[in-house]
Formats: sequence, C-alpha cells, structure tokens
Amino acid sequence: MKKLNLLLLAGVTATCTMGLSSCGSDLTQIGILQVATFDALDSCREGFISTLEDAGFVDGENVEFTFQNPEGDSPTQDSMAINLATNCDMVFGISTGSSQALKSAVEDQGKDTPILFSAVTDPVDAGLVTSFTEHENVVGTSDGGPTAENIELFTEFEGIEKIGIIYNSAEPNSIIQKEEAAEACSELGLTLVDGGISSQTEIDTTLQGFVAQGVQGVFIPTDNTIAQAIDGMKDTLEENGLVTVCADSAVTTAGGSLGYSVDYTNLGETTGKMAVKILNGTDISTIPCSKSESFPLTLREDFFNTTGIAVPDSIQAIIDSQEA
Amino acid sequence: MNWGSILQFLGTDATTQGLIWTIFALGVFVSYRILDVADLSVESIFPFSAITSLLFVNLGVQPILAILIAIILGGMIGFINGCLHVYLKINPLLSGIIIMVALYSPNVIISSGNIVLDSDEYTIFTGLNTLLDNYVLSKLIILGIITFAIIGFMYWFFGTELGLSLRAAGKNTSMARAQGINTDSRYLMGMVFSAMLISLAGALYGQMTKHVSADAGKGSIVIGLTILFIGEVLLGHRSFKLSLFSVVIGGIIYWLIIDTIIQIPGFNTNYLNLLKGILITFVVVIPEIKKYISKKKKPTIAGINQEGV
Repeated sequence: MKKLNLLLLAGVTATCTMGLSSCGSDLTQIGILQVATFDALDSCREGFISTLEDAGFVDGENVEFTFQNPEGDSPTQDSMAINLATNCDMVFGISTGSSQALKSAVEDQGKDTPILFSAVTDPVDAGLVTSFTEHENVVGTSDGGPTAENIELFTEFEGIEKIGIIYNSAEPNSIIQKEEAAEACSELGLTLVDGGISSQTEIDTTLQGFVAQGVQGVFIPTDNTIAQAIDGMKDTLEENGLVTVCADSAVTTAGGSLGYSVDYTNLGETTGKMAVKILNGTDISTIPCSKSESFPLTLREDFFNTTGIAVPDSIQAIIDSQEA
Repeated sequence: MNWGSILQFLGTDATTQGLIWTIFALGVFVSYRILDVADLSVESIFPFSAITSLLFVNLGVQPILAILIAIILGGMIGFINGCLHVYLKINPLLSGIIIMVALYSPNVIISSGNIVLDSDEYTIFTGLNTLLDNYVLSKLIILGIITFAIIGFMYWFFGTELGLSLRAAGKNTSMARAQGINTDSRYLMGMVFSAMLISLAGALYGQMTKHVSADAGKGSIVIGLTILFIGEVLLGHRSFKLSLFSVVIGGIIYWLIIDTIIQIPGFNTNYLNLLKGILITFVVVIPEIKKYISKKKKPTIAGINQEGV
C-alpha cells in the first residue's frame, strides 16, 4: 500500500514537471499579465498586440505572446508573474497590481527584462518608476483620467447638488480618483457621498443608500470591480434617474449616462509603440512614460430616452463637434 | 524519472508559494481540524499581517521584527475572535465572518488600497540573497527552515499536557469539561495560535511579493482547506505527525497544480478555475483508484494481499 502511495505521488509530480519542461522556443517571448477580464483592459491588450503586428512582430512568426489572467486572484497572479518573468524576454502588465507583481518577480530573479505597464493611474505612487522620465527597465502608460472635467459635467445638469462615487476601496487607481473627485467637488460646491465597496455584492446596497441620501448623480471612476458589474447596475440607475458619469467609455455604453473617458485601445497602442522601440534596440531608460492625451466624450442616448432627462445643449454641442 | 527536471521544479515558484501556504494551512489545521471550527477570519487576517509587516519595514523596522509585530497583532485579532464566541456566545462561524468583514476596513485604511515596499528597504529574504546570489534558493531555505521549525514546535506542543488538553477540548467539549479542562481558555488559546500562524504566513507573503492589496486574502480559506484535504488524501491522518507533514505535501502539490496549469503553452487562463477543479478532483480521488487497483490484486485468500499489508 505504501509503495503504491509513493508511486502515485511520484506520478503526479512527474506529470507536472513534464508540463514545466515543455516551454522554450527561439521566438522572442512576450508575456502579458492582465488582472481580470473586462472591456477596458481587453481593448488595451488588443491595441498593444495589433500595434506590434503592424510593426512586423507577428505572433507565431517572430514573436510569441503568452497571455495570463488570474481573474483577480492575488496569489495566482504572483505565480503567473514569476512564470512569465522566468520564460519571457519582455513582459507587459495591465493594471497596477499586475505590473507590480511582474516588477517584483523580475527583480527577484536578478534579471533586467524590459517591463511595460498600462492602465496604471499613478505609476510613481505604485513604486513602478521614480518619475515619468527616470526609470530603469520599467516603462509604460498611465490611465489617469480627466476626473475634474468629469465632475464638471454634473454642473451642466440642473438641480444636481449631491453626487455619489462608487468604487472598490482596495483598488489604488480608484482611491486616487476619489481624492481628485473630492477636490473637484469642493471647488464646484457639490456634496460628495463616499460609496467605497469591497465586493460586487455590496453594489446594490450602496446604490440604495445613495438614493436614500438624496443623491442626484453618480460618478464611476476607472474601477475594475464596478466595470465588471455595470450591466447589473443599469436598471437601478435608470429607475432612479441618476445621471451617471463614467471615466471609462465601455462602462458608459454598458450602463452609464455620459463621461469623458480614457481611450484604452489608444493607451494599449501607445504602450505597443514603446514595445516596438525596445524590440528594435532602443534603450528602455531613454523612453519616457506617457499619459493618455485625448479624452473623447461618450454619451448613451438610451439613458436619456428612458429617463426623460434632456441632454443639456452644451453637452450636445460637444458631441456634435466630436462627430464632425 | 528525470531528476534534472525535478530539481528545476524545486527551484520554481510552486515550492516557495507552497511553503507559505503550508504555514497558512497549518493555521487552518489548528482551527478546522483541532478546534473543529471553520474560521473565516483568516481571509482578512492574512492580508492584514502582510500589510502590517510591509508597513513596519517601510517605517524602518528590521524585517524580522516587523514579522514578529505582525504575528502579535494577528494573535490579538485571533483573541478578539475567540472572545466573541466565548464571552458573547456568538456562533464561531459568525464570529469569523464578523472579523473578516470588520478587518477589511483597517486593511484598506492602512494600506490605502495597495502597499508597496519602499525601494531602499530590505526584506527577510534580502540578507541571505546577497550571500547566495540566488533569490529562489534563499526563499526556499528561509521558508523551509520556518516551516519545519513550526511543524517541530506543533508536534512537541500538541504532545504536552496543555496541547493534549487543547486537542481534547476540540474533539469532545463535554467530555473534556468533565475531565476538568477549562474548554473556554483552550478555545481562546487555539484561536490565538491559529491566527498567529496565519499572520506569519501573511507577513512572509507580504515580504516575498513586496506589494499587497487589501483584498489579497480573497479566497484564501478555500486554498487552505484544499491543501488540507489534498494532504490528508495523499498521506492520510493515521498519526498526528503524519497529519502535520501531509499539510506540507498538500501545499506543494496544490501550487504545483496551479503552476502546471499556467505553464501550459497557449492556455486560455479563463479556464483556470475549471481546470483547477478538475485536477483537484483527480488528486482527491486517487485513494479510490488505489482501492480499485488493490482490489484487483487481491489473492485468493481473503483479507491478505500480495504485499502482506
């Protein structure tokens, strides 16, 4: 019996180790670590890959992409980061946590693999770079959004004095935006109700709480947890006629009302251009980090049709000029 | 068997993560197996100690001291958790949930969502790393020493009169009370001990990954219980010593499974959890397969098989 036990144990170990040794090829390996699946991060990744393809780095021909996604699970994310750092010639982290995990994994192995990041609101605060121009083997794009401009949108609607912000209080990106929103609100004379949550299950209660407190508008920052749950929030937001400004166009079209947003595809493309430069031999420390510069205004007409709230002329004018 | 690939495997992440989660699972072992309580507070205590250990290192405290502080703070939370049950008569499952929910706020506040090790600070692994110049090996050595020291301590402690009374109090409370054991104090002691082990795992995890978010403990109780079950199924729990070692085996096998899945070339990681489920099921049914095979091998004389066991 004991022998059989050992034999089975050895069997499991051997099967697993076989899996480990199957890696390795001559192509340039590019590893992508993305914290979870949702539209904004997906389009960032697609933008990155398509830019590389346009520059002649095609998956399966001269480069090979390894894409990993821990679906928000931190310990698994660390394992994936170590795996990518071991096997890849270049790594790309989408979100603050993923980029930090990759940086820590690469450092631990004593390597200087180029690390790219995107969808990080404040790379300096996250410890990824010293400043936008001073860094070693880490470079990328920040998705810091136009929070002040977004809060200003509320003032275009009549009668909005009190707004709520809903975000995951464990996401560093969202906390930075909450602080920016609080500042903008105090300048514009709006009251801000803090709706920090810890999981998707709390979203409904928080929204009900907003309604009970007489909130007339909701601000949604670029928050991974809310982005995953927006479809379920749509009805509550519409029923209560809450004007919802979102800092992510994918969230706006899925259930918000309007908002200036970061164009994640564009962000991914900018990061992709950096990757192309590095692959062509440019020294990574000479490439500066960058921020998204154009913030298109998105508007979901369905919201205004359903609730009967009129689109203010000033906002309609911006939309018209964008289309033209 | 290819020894080269096994050595290569031993130097990977599965073993280091496995050892940290072994310590975590030993904490779960104390609450779940010894005290017979499904303690959910670990989901928040784990990130809490990871965050505090990094916070104190960032403040300039020695890494080892930072871990000790995290363990003491974690033990205090375990004590509060125990008190909720002993003095306020709250169901242990609920008291764990209360701590899990309540501790989330301090976690968010002190980490402001996500805490990173300052680039000029050291961790417990840095010293040995400068000596060996191999980060994986230094992690393995330090974690290995800590894990086996803990197993040794637990084996000794649960063999003393105090430890035995603690086990008795968990196994059969009324019987233990009839023997004159103060079951309340033993319950408190067990909860503190369990929380301290969880905190040690958390503090080491924080210093190993160098960045922790407030929700890093999400799903950790599931990992801990899975490790316990995998270990028990593979090694059994015929003796206390074997139960302790089975946790180590369980921890390493669990992360080996995860590591194998994520290393499959071109694997769509959206299927990760499904595959995790299938592989864990496979590992856990091994004893049944074993039974089936040994049944086939049975000789004509009933009751004695060829191995004479």
